[in-house]
Amino acid sequence: MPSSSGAREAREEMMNWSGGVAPLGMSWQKLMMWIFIVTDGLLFAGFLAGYGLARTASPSWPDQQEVFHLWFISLMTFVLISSSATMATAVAAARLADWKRVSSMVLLTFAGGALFLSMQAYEWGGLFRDGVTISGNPWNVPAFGNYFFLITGFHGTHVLIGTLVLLRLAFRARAGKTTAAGVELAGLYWHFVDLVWVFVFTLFYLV
Amino acid sequence: MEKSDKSPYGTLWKTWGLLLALTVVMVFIDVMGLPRILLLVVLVTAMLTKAFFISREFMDLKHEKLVVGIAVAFSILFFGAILFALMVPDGFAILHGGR
Repeated sequence: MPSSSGAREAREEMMNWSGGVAPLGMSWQKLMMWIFIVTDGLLFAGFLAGYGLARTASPSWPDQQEVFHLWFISLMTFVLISSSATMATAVAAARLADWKRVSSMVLLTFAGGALFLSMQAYEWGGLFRDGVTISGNPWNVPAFGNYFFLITGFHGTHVLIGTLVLLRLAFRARAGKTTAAGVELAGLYWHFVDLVWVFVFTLFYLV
Repeated sequence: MEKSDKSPYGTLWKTWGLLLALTVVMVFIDVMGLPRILLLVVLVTAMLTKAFFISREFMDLKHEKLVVGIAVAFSILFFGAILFALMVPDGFAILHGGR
């Protein structure tokens, strides 16, 4: 057996759908979650591209360091990344069947999500007081408020849905009503929410 | 080999540290006031690096078949890039053409 046939077999194995109960070597539930993540990612890609159009077409754009408290947004980013890490820990613990740790880590992740939402509500409140709304703002660049509230609002809604899922999951894990695969699905969604924030944070707050 | 059950957590928290370090660097670079194009290149590179590590380590793509990661990354990044490439130049045209 020459070694190249082994390599080819490995390659065919990689390209092989396999079908049946485990397409691409994963459960159909996980595959569906990945397909959802791709479609949802394309939704945000569309929003961000629209924002790119509005921003390049605009003669001026508010200076983010003037509008936002960058240290506060960085803190929000810290909270969300940390909640992603606790969620990953929960998934790893679920694989080891350490359900007590799963429950506490998922609760901690929920707390991170709730804290992120509160911080976002506080940030929005501050912007409202400064006269930034979805239809207008002190810098006379309506597109700024449009896209800001559209994108962060859609992302925040994803976080909100995630926190509800996590809260339910934490109790179900404690009651022994969930499986490692179930925790993993919730984890995939939660990491996706974190992933979207990486793009929003960079493209809206920093660039 | 011993305590192999500890190792998954270790990698996860290392990834966490890396993501936070990248975030801090990005914010510092942003307030430093680099030239616009350079700033864009640096920030987008750091952003994609963060996305890579989140999907590889947290979303566990390193344990899936390679084709899954390729399909996901290609779908989102390629179509995202196409959207940008089709729409953003129009923004400049609107700005300078006044239409």
